[in-house]
Amino acid sequence: MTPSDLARKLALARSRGSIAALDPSDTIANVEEAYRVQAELAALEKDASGAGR
Amino acid sequence: MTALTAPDQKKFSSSRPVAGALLGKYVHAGPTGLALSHLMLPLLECEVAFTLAVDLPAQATPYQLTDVEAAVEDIVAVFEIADSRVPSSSPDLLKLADCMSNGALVTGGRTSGRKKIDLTKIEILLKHNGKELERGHSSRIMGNPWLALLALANAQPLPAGGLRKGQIITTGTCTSPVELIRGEYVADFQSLGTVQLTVT
Repeated sequence: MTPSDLARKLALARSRGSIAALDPSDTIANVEEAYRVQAELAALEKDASGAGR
Repeated sequence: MTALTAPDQKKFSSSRPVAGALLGKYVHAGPTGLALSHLMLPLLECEVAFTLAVDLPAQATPYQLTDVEAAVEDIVAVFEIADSRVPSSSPDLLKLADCMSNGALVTGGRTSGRKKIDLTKIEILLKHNGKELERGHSSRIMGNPWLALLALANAQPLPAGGLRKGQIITTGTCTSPVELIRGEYVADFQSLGTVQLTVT
């Protein structure tokens, strides 16, 4: 699992209004990695917002 | 932001406060409406937030309270809707990755001249469909929400390179979280104004 992979799963869950389909390998090692996922998620959500306008 | 105390920071294996990004598409100016169909297990929280007039980048010496006061444009009463895309039993770091379970943010009215309001003394009354639902107090946030903003500025946790002009910084709940159900929510933050949300 990379931060990008996890961010994509979270973005998909947000778009569906559902809980993300996570695997046991979807873990976060430390705060810095959590922030990398946030950054990837922010980019994905921004792209999705743009596409909808 | 969360983990303002050392015991809470241990949950994140961190020595500093941590923060979840408020993504723009989930921030709404109130009065507004939200549909429950877009949320999973939402909770409503009443919070004191700040908007930034200038950047607060990382710097060699810690910020002082006067520095962050000068950087703030406005103080805003907000509803944070906590919601999660990961199971409730998930580790805290996974919740942090999911923007610290932010589901939405609803802001109250924006005016000027509120920077001098004493944030140690704001009583909050939350009503649902006209009936009292919850009471809270701004002092629940480190005794003074300004101190939470200062802690965040010095923690510099966000991946975007510090705190930036135009961002909204919300400082944690001043009320016990309540389950979000259909109806009209109004919170009175005294001199900070009101926040209104209709849930359908």
